Amino acid sequence: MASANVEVPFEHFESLEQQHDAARMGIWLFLVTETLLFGAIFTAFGLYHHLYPGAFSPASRGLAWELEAANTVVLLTSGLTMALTDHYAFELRRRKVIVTLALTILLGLTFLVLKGVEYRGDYLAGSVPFLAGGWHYTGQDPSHAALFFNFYFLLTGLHASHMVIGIVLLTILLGRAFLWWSPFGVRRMIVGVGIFWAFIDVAWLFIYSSLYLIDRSGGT
Amino acid sequence: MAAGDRASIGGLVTVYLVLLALLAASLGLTYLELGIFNPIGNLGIAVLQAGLIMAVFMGLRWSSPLVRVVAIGGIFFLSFLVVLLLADYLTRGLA
Repeated sequence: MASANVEVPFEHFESLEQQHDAARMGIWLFLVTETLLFGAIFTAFGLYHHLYPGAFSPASRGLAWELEAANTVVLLTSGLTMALTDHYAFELRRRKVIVTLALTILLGLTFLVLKGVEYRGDYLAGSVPFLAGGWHYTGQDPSHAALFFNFYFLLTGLHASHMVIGIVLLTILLGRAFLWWSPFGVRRMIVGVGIFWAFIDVAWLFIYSSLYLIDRSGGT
Repeated sequence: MAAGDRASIGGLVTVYLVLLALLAASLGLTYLELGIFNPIGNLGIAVLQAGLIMAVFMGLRWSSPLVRVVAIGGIFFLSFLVVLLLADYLTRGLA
C-alpha cells in the first residue's frame, strides 16, 4: 500500500515497475478484444463497399464530413488533454489533473453533442433505415444504401457508446481527484482510462477515414 | 515501463500538432483526383495517426517489450481475420 509520499507496490508484485507493466498489459489485452470487435465490422464494411460501390460511394459522399472534421479536431484535442492528465498525475499535481480531466470531459461531451446534431440531420434527410419513418432515401440503389447507413450507425454508435463509457470513467476520476484520498490510486486509474480514451481516438480516425473521406476526391 | 519514462509536455503538444497537420493533409487529399490513391492516402494517414497516438499518447514508446507484443498482437489477430475472410471471398468468386 502507499504511504503519503512514496508509492509501494502491492504485495503480489516484485516491484513498482512490474506493477505498472501489469496494469498496462491488462488494459492492452482488453483493447485487443476491442480491436477485433471494431476490426470485424470494418472488414465487413470494406467487403460490402467493394460489392456495392454504386450505393456506398454516393451515400458516403452525402455524410456531414465538414462537421465531423471539426469533431475530429475536438477528439484529437481531448486526446492531448488526457495525455496531459497522465503527465500531471505522474507528478501528483492535483490541481492540473483536475483542470485537464475537466477539459477532457468537456471536449468529450462536445463531440457527443456534435454527433447528435449530425444524427438529427440524418433523420431529417430520411437516412435512418432502422427507424419507422426514418427512411426515405432518394439517392442511388436505396436498398444497398440502407446497408451503408446501417454500417454507419453501427460504427458511429458503437464509438459514441465507448465515448459515453469513457466520460463516465473520467467523471469518476474527476471526483477521486477532487477528494485526493488516494493520489497513487488516482494515478493508476488515469493510466488505464487514458489508454482507453486514446483508443477511442484511434477508432474514430479509422471511422472518419473509411466512412466519410474514402469516397471523396476532386472536391466532391 | 520505468516510472520516469514518459513524454514531456512539449513532446505531447508536438505530437498533437502533427496529428492536426495529418488530418489537414487527409482532408486536402479529398480535393485531388488521385483515383485509387485517394482511399490509400486517407487510410495511410489514419494508420500514421494511429501509430503516433499508440506510441506517445498510449505510452507504447516507453512500455516494456511484453506490453508492446500484446498491443501488436491485436493487429496480428485482426490480420488473421481479414486474410482468412478474403481468402474465402476471393477464391469462391463472391467478390
